[in-house]
Amino acid sequence: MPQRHRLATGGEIDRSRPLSFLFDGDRYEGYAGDSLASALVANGVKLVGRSFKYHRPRGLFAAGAEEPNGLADITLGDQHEPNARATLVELAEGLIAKPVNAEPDLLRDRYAILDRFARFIPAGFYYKTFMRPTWALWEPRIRKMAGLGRLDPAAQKAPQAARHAACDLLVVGSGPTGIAAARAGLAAGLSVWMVELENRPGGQLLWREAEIEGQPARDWVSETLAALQAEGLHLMPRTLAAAYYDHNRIALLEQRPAADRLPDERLWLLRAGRVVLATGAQERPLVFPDNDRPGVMSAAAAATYVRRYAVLPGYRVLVATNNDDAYESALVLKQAGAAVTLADLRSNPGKPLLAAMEAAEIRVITGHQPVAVEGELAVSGARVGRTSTSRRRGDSHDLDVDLVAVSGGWSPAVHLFSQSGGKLRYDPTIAGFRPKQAVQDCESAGAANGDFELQACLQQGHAAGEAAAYALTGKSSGLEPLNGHESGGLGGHNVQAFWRTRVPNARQWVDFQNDVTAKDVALAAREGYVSVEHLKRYTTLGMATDQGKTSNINGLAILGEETKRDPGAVGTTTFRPPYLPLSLAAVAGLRRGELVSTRRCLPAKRVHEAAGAVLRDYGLWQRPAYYPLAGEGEEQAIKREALAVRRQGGLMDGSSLGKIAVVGPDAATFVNRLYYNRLDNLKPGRLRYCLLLNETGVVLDDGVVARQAENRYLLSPSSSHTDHVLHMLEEWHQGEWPDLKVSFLDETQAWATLSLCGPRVQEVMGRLETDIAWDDGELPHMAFAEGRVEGVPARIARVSFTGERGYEISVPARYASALWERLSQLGLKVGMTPFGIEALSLLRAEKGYILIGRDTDGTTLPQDLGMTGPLAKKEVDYVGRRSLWTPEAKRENRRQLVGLQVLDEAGPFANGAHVVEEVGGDLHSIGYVTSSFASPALGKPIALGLVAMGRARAASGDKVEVFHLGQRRPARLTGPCAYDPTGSRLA
Amino acid sequence: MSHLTAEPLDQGLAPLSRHGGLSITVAKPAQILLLGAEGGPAMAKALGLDLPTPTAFSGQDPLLAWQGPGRWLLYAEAAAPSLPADLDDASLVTDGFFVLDLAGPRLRDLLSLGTSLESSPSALPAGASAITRFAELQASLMMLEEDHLRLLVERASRDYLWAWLDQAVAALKE
Repeated sequence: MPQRHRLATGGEIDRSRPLSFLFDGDRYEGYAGDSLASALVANGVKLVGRSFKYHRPRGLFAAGAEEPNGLADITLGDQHEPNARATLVELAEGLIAKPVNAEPDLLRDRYAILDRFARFIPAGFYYKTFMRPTWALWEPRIRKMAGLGRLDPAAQKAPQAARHAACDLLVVGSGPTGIAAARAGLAAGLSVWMVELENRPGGQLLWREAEIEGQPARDWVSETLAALQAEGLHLMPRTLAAAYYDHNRIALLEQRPAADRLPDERLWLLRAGRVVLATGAQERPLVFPDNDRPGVMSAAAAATYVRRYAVLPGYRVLVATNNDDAYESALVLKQAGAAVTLADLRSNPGKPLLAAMEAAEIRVITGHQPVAVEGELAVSGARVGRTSTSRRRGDSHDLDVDLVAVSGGWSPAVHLFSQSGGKLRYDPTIAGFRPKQAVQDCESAGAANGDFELQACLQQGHAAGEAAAYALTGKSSGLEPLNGHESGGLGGHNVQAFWRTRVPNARQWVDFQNDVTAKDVALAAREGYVSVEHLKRYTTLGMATDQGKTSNINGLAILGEETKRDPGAVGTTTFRPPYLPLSLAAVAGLRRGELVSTRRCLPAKRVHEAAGAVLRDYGLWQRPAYYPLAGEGEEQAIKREALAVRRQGGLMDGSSLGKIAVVGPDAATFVNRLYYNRLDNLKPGRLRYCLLLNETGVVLDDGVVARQAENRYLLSPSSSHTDHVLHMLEEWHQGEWPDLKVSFLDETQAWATLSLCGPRVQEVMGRLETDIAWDDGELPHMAFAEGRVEGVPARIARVSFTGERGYEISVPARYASALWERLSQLGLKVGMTPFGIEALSLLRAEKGYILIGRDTDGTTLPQDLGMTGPLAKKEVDYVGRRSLWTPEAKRENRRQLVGLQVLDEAGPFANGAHVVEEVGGDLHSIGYVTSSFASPALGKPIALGLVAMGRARAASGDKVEVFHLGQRRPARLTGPCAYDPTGSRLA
Repeated sequence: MSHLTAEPLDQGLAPLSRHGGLSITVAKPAQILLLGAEGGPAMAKALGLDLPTPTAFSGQDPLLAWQGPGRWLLYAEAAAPSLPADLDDASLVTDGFFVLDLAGPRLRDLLSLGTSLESSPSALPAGASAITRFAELQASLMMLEEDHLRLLVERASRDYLWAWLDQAVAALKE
C-alpha cells in the first residue's frame, strides 16, 4: 500500500502534488513538502542506511540537521549531491537517492558481514593492526572501503559567486527565540537578517503545541514573520550558518530552490554588528543495547514526523525517556493513532505528567530503562527493566512494539557559539553544556542557551534583541516582551542524567555514524586516552559527517564515568566550522579555472606571445619560460638561448623585478639599518648588490640597490619578494623607527625593464637613440643613469645576472612592447636572441649567482653564502645582525654554498639530491643539490649545493657522493662559480 | 619626439559577454602620482585641497586620496597639474595601474561580489575612498558619485580582473 504510514489529515504537505522518487532502487511516492526522510517514513521504509565501520543496518534517528544515519547520494537530472542528509533533502519529482555504505543495495550489502567480526575490530584496531607488514599494503584497500558517498565526476555545479554583506543584527534560528529577537531588533530600527536551516521557519513550534500572544503558535509564527518581513526583516530559509569567524563574520550557505533541479547554492560572507544565536537544542539518544536498530528514533523526531509531515513512524510505540519533554512526544504519537507505552527511568516523574498520560490512556512504567531491542532490520519488540540486569518477572517488561522513541535529554546547539570563541559550562540541571560568557558581540538565547521553557525562550530572545539594539544604537524597541506557554499542561523540562545501561557485554551505540560503542569509550579510557580530544581521535567518536551532534555529550559523559570525573571536568572537544558539510564548489565561488588565483602579466605580454614565448607562472607572475623556434623542444630552446647570451647577446623582460623608491632626508640611514650591506657610502648614480636578512639573520632577499640621489634610493627586490619587502619596510619604519623621515613609493609596475646582455650588446646600444652617456667611462658596471631612450623617459642600469656585460633599460610600462620590438630589431644584426626565465636560471647558476629560496633555505645566513664583508666591517646595527653572532651562526659544520663538479658521465645531478657521506656503514646527509644543469657553454654538467663545511671542503677539493633514488654518484666540491670566475666578461 | 608607440591599456581586452546594467570603462588618466609623507601635504597645499582622510578623498580632478600611513595618491584625469617645485618624495606611477570606471544601478551588487568591505551607500557614500581587497587584488576604491566607482588595481592584474569581471557580471543577473 503506498504511503501506508501517512496520516489522513494534517502536516505541512501538499497532497495535491504527489512526487515519485527512487530510493535504493525502489520506486516510492511522497508529496510536495516532504523531506526525503519523511517520504521514506510515509512508505514504511525503516532501513535507510548502513553504518561506516560495521555496516550495521540503520534507520532514521532524527528529523533535522543532526541525522547521523540517513545519508544518501542524490541525483536529479544531470545534477548530483553526494552524502546528503535525507532529513534536509526536499523531495522532488524524479529524485534518485542511493544510500551510502551499501553495495549493491541496503539488503544485500556485501560488507554487512563485517559486523560479525566486530569483537575483533574494536576502537584502535587500525592503529595496532595495519602497521604490519606495511601500511602501504593496506591503505588502498581500506581507502576503497572507507569514505561516505561517491562524487559523480560528470556532474557539474555552476559557479556561484560568493557575496559579501553586512547587517546590524543576525539572528540564527527562526524558532520563538529568534523571532522574539528579530522583532525587538527591527522595532529599534536595526537592519536584521534571520537565517533558518530548514525550508520553513518555526523551530520547535513546527511540532510543539503552544500558544503565543493568545494565538496557536504555528499561526503566530507565520503572521508575525509576515509582519516583520514587511518591516524589513531579511529572512533566509534553507540557509546554513556554517561558520562563525572573528569580528562577527559569519559564513552562510543559502540554498535556493530551483525548478527541476537541485537547489542552487550561494555562499554569503556576512559581517554582523551583533549576533543572536537562537539555534535551539538537539535531542540525545539513550545508550542501551542495540539502540541503533532501525526503528529506534528520537522521540521529538517521531513527533516532528507526525506534526510536520503527517506520517506516523510506528503504530506500537515505546517511548523511553529520562526527562519530561518526551511526554509531549508520547501525546503526539498517541493522538496520531499509535498505541503508546512510556518508560521513564525516573521513579517519580511527578503527578502532572502522570495525570496527563492517564488522561490520554498512555501506560507509564516508571523507574524502568530500556535494556533490549528485538529485530535486526526493523524493531519488533523491546524490553524495559528496573535495572540493567533485570530478568525477573515484575522487574522487566517485554513489549510488542515497532518503534522505540527515545529521549536522553537535550543538548543546546552551542556549535556556533563555540566557533565564536565562547567557552561552555556543564549544567547538571539540564545534563548538558550551555554557553558561558560570549567573547564576540553575540548572545545565545532560548534553548541554545539551555533554557527550554517557551516563556523563557520568548523573554531571552526579546532581551537579546533589545541588547543588540542598545549596543548598536543606544535605543530600545519600546515593545513589551512576548508571552506564551506550552499547551496540554506539559512544559516541564526536568531531566535525570543517564549515560548508558550497565547491561554486561552488550553493544550500546554512542556514535551511530562512526560506530563507536560505550565499550569503545571504556577501552579508550583503559588505554589511557582520558582527554576528550584523545578519545575522539582514538575512537573516531564525533569525527563523522554529523560531527557527533547526537553522540558527543553521551560519549564524554561515559568517559567521565570511566575516569570518575563529572562531564564538566571532561569537557567537550572543539567545535569547528562548518556546522554541516558544504560543497567545495560553494566555498570556491568564482575562484576556479583561470580565476583560481590572481595572476600578474607583464606589460609586454602581447609581444612575448607574438614571439612564440611559452608563458609560465613564476610565483604570481606569468613570464616567458623560453621562446622555442619551430620544431624545437624545451631543452633545445633553453640551450640555444643560453648559448646566444654567451656568444652574441640576449634580450630578456625583467619588468617584474621590484622597484621601490625609499625617499626622504633619512633614506640613507633607513636603508643602511635595513640591509646587510653598507649603503650610506654608496655614491649617487651607483648600484650595490645587497642581501636583506630577517631578525634571525636568515637571508630573505637579494638584489641591487641604486642610489638615485642623496636622499633617494631605488631597491630592486626579486620579483616574488617585492610585496613582502615593501611590507617589511613599512613594518620596521612604523614599528621600530617611526622617527626616521622616509617614505616608500612602489614604482614596480609603472616601469618596464628590459635587459640586454652578452658580448655584442654594446653594438645594439650604439644604435639606440638616447641622451644617456652609457660608455664604460660614464656608465661602468654597477652604475645607473636617467635620461631618455628612443624619445621616452628612461633609466639605464649596468648590471648583470648572467655574468655577461649587461644593460637594463627601464621605460614607462606603456612603452614596454614598443621598446621590446625596437631592441629586437636592433639586435638582429648581432644575433641577439630573446631568452626566458629558464635560460636565465641556467646562466646565473653557471656563475654561482644564487636564487633566494632555491639556493638558500630557511636557515641560510649570509656567511653561509660566503658574503662575510659586512659582518666583519659594517659598524652600524642592521636587521639580523645580532643573530649572526650566535653560537648557532658560528657553528663550524653549517651548510655552505658550494659548486659540485660531476665526476662521472651520467649527466647532471637531480635537483634536491642529497650529498652524503658514509659513517660506520650508514649514509648520512651532509647537504643537498640546490641547482643543477647541463651547461651548454662549458659542455658539462654543473651544480650548486648547500653542504656542511662546504667552503673548507671545496678549498681542499674534497670528493663526496650524491645520492638519489638509491644511486650514489661521485662529485668534487668546488667554488660556486663555474664560468668566468674572474668576472672578465662583465667589464 | 617619441619613437616608441604607447600601448593603450584596453588593447586586446575582449568585450565582456554581459554588462549587467553596468557601464564599465577603462580609464586613461593623464597622471597618477604616488606621494610620500611630505609630498602629500605639499601637494594638497599647492592644489588648495584638504589632506584626505583614510576614508574620503579630496577634490575631483585632480583628486587626492590616502593610500596608507604617510602615503597619498594624486589622480589627474584630464591634465597633469603643475607640481610644487620642491617635491622630492613623489613617484610618477601613471603606468603602474589599471583603472576602471564602473557606473550603474547594480554597482553595489558588484561590490558585494568583489570586496568584504561594507558597500552600502551609507557605509561607502559619494566621496568615500578605501584601500581594500577587490576580487582578491589589492585595490583603491574611490566613490566618485553614489553609483560611480573608480577602481585602481595594479597594472599587471589587468587580464585577471577582466576575466573576473566577465564572470562576476554574469553572476549579477541572478
